[in-house]
Order: sequence, then structure tokens, then C-alpha cells
Amino acid sequence: MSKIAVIFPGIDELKEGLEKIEKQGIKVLDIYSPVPIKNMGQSRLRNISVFTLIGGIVGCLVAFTLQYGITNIDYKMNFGGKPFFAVAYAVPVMFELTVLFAAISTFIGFLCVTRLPKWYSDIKGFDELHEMALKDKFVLVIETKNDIEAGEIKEILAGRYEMVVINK
Amino acid sequence: MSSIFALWGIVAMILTVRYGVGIWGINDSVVWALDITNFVFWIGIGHAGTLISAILLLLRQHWRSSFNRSAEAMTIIAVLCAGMFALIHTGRQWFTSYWLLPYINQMAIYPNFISPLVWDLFAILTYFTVSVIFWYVGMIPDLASLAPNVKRGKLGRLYFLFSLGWKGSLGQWANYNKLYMLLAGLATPLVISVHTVVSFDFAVTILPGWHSTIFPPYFVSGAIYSGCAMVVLLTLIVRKLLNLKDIITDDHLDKLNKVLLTTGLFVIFSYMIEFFFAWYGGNSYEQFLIRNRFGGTYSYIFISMIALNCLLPQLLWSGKIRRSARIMLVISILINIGMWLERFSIIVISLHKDYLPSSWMDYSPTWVEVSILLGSFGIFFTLFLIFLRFFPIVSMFEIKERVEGRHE
Repeated sequence: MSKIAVIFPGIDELKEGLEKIEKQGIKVLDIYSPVPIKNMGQSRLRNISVFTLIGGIVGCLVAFTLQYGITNIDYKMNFGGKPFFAVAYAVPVMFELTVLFAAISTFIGFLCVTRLPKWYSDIKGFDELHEMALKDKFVLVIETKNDIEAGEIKEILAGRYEMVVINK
Repeated sequence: MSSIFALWGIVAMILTVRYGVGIWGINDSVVWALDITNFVFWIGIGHAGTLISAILLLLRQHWRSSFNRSAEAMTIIAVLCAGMFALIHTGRQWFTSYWLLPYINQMAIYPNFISPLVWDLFAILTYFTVSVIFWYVGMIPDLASLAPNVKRGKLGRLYFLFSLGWKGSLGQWANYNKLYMLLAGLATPLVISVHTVVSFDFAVTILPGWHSTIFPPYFVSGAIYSGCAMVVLLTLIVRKLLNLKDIITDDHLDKLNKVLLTTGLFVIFSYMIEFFFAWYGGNSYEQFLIRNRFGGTYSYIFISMIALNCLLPQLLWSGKIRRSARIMLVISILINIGMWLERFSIIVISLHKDYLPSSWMDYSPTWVEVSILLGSFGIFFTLFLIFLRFFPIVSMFEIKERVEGRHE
């Protein structure tokens, strides 16, 4: 088993090459790109907005419990005969903690879904290609079963793009 | 230069902590003066960063990408400066945690949640945290792309560490975009809420000039106004220092100046509404306050504020001026001064003559207060220049995206 990386100089070339490869029924392992590409990668999307929602609800409840608990249960203080607890004055803190918890949990959700932080590569001997993909090249990685398939891919792309074979 | 000012300000702050707020010019009537003026001023500056990064992102205004990073850095640093004033204005600063954090003190009493000062603490800390997350998330792909190219010392390794090992696979990008949009969606109401809460500090009192329902929108538009002026100023500095004329074009500054003009009109409208309320409400104290603003002890401050905030930005109707770096620089500095004077007149003019003539007092700042003000500018610019030195100042991947998008 070996992996082949094809290096494309731009988005248009990448899309063209990808179409040709997928037409042949070859499975693409991953694509590395320096910029987000519209309408690609959506299939891998797991929803991180669930984290936002849960974080927001938790934050709101924490703020409510905090204020209700302090002012109405733990230590009742009489400020000029005002009610001990009223939703009206609790709203600002509830809003702020909702946003705070939602933002933090969204970030945590992002880390969970993308499995970051991960300071190493899944593919051995790929460091230089990663550098290229972070800078300005689009790198497409294919897993091949044998050398024949590698030759096929070369044929499909008509030798137009640079290819690197990585042996595992 | 700016670090000298910063040090001078820090010395003045240490003196304040050592000898108390008695060495300031504040008195029984004018209990808040330069400290809270500076606090509101810096919080206001801190608003435009998130406006530009979050609201313009949601509105898909791609021209934001040439200066959103520096605007976000500005936000964080300005909120730090503001937090400093919030901390030192209390006097006996070592007790602040008992007054504000929900933490029981030695008499088993919690802070008063009916007080807007406690709301303010939550609002500002939340704003700071969310701004930092937003700023950091925006930098992750750039740090990853920089890491291999920086050979100097340990900096490259630090970039790599903070890039979290970002690789830029399509799955990562898709989640990243979603994260960025969600954070922008969360930050947008936050921008509005933070300055609303700051304005509650004033609006829930019964003082004429403060007790007003117009305050939240008035403060928010003023904050965005002064913040945009600061973004114009910093963008011009960045463009000049790093020679980024091709990335930060005149076109971008033109658009930014249009935002500045629009928010300036909001501010003028707020002033007009305030005068209208005083006249239509028929409250003699409110009417006295307006008269006192135009003809009282501090009338020169109020009149120069009107000139700088209302008349000066009208120059921006001209397209030529919106594209001239020199005039822009002068206008943005003068608007910032004008907005500082606005906060001064809201706070000091309202406080120094309120209900009882027996408690009318004038206020003039001491050298300590002025030093802390200048020091805050020193701290702001020092931190900003450090940021310029060590971080990607322009959002690199967004620029790449725009370049790629051009021939798509």
C-alpha cells in the first residue's frame, strides 16, 4: 500500500483533476488546501453548532442559578424594599454568561470535531507537502493498492501535475 | 517613545494604589472624572474591532480582511486599558474581587446583582474572552503557514505550538468556517450588549444628563464611531510602517470612512434627541443641564466636542478626502479627541452641578490623572507595536482566498 500526493497550483486545476480521478472510481483520502474552498468538504462536516446551543443553555442556567441562589436563598439582602429576586435585573448577567459559555464550548467543539490539537501528521514523510499545502499549493492524497493504480492515475492526469509517491 | 509614556503612566498608577484616589482631582460632587472618562473611551475604542471582524463578516463584506486582524488586536488591547481604569478607579483596589466577583466576603455578603457595576464586570470579561477567542481562531491557519518559514529562534516553534498542528484539510476548513461564523454570530450581539451595559452604569441613576432611555443606543453608536476612527488611524500607521499599500488600498479606507461618516450621523442624531428630550420633557433640571453645557464652566469642552464630532466628519462626504491619507489621519485623531471630550462632558458636566446648589463643585484633574491618561495611550501603542512585530498583521488566508477567488 502506498500513498500518492498530487500537487495542484490552483483551485480550478484541483477541481478538474478531482473530477477525473473520481470518475475512475478512485477514492480520495484527503485534500489539503491553503484556503477554504466553497462547496467542498461539507460531507465531512459534523455539526459543531450543537456545542454552541448546549453551551448557551448551560451558561444561561448557571447565571440564573447563581443570581437566584445568592439573592433569594443563600443571603437575602433588603435593598430599599425591592424584591429579593427579579428576572429584570438578572437579564444582563444571564445574557453575558450565555454568550461566554456558548463561545467557549463552540471552540471546544471545534477542537473535538477536528481532533485538534495534533502536532504531527497522519501520513509519514509528508512534512514538506504539508508546508506546501499551507503556503500556496493544493495537495490531493490518494491511497493506492498497487503500482498499477499509480500508473493509472498518472495517465488520468496526463502527467500534467507533480506527483509524489509516499511509501508507508 | 510610547513605552516611556507607558512607564510614566504605570508610575502614576502605583502612586494611586499607594496613596489612594485622594491624589486625584475628584471631590464630593465629581466622584467620577478622568478615570471613568478614560474607561468609557477605551471600551468604546474596543468596539470597532469586533464590529469590523464580526458584523462585516456576517454581512460578507470581504474588504474587511485587509485590516480585521489589526482591528481585533486593537479591541483586545483597548479592553485591557479600559479594565485597568475600572480596576484603579475603585480605590483600595485589593478589595475589588470582594465587590464584584460572586465570591463571599468576610461579612458573608455577596456583591449586589442589582448594581450595573456587577453587570459591567460580567459584560467586559465576557467581551474580552470572546474577543480573544475570535482573534486567536482567526490566526490559527496563518500561524500554521508561518511556522515553517520562521527560522529565527524559538518563534517558529511557538507559532507551530499555537497553530495546534493545523493542516488545512478540507474537513478542517469546513468546520473552521462554521466555527468562525458561529463566533461572529455570538460576538455581534455582544458588541451591542457591552456598551449597553456600560451605559446602564449611568442610565439607571437619577442624575439629570444620565437618567435617560436614549443612553444604550447613544453609547453604542458613539463607541463604534470612535472605534472606527481609531481603526482608520491604526490602519494608516500599519500601512505606512509595513508598506502594505497593495493590500490595504485606498478603496478599503474609503469604505471604512463611509462607516465612520454613518456612525457620526447616528451620534449627531443622539445629541439632537437628548436636546429634544430636555425641551419636550419639561423637566427643569434637564433643561438646566443643557444650558449648563452650552454656557457653564465647561462650555468650551462641550462646544469643541460638537465641532469635532458633528461638524468635522461632514468633510467625509467628499470622496477626495475619504481617500487622502493625510486629511484622514488628522480627522481620525480629532474625532478621537472629540469622543473623549464627549465622555468627559457626559460625566463631569452632569456631576458638577446637579440638584442642590450647595453641592456644586468644579473639577480639574491633577497631574496624576493626566499621567495615567497619557500612560494608557503609551500602553496601548506599545502593545500594538509588539503585536505588529510578532503576529501576522493581515489575515493571510483571507487574502489568499480573495486572490484565488478572482480567477474562479
